[in-house]
Amino acid sequence: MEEADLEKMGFQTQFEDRWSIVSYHPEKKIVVCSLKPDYVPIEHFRSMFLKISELVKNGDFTKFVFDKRSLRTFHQPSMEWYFIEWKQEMATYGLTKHRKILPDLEWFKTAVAIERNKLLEKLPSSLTTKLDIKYCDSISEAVDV
Amino acid sequence: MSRPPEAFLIFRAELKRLELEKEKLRQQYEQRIFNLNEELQFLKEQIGSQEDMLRSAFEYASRIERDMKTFKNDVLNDKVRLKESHH
Repeated sequence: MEEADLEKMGFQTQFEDRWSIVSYHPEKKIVVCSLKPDYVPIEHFRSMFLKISELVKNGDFTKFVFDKRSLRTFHQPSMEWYFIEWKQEMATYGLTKHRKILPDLEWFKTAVAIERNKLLEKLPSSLTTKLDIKYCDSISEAVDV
Repeated sequence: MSRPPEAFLIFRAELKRLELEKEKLRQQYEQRIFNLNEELQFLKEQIGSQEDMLRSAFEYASRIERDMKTFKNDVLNDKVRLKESHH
């Protein structure tokens, strides 16, 4: 699938640095975070998500697209914090739709699946029913579904 | 008091300039060392995360292997039981 041009789709860039580019679309109520390197250290991962939190708190967003295609290694404690704490807090601001894009690598997808099963056990059941999580192949698909 | 010789003034100005240059180089060097240490920390963290991913994958594979063995044994036991039941 052809990659979406966020700017042409009306997305505005919130911030961009060595680790990621974060854009948002106020009408579509979507925030898109695309990672850039093959690994994001926890310190920068958290700081990036805290900046996204500010955007979500001050806006009216319902969907978060997390493009992790550049990743080749993930830091499990970072993912756990994002999956359990961050998503739970953001759900209170109405951000309940999560669309994720993984690299097209079977071993990486399997590694994610192994860890995800452990995380799902830790997620409160009230949140599991509230969240709408889907995996997509591209940003265009993630924006549409 | 008489004015210092011209050569001395030039020397003093040059010395001051070199001291400033030296300080600038020292700061640049320290910044480079700081950046290198930071990159080293990132790499160490990344290697640690890769080890964790490998550990998880091996644990998962071991669990599947164990489950397969148990399943195979169960199937064999069932076959034996089935044979015995015909006699």
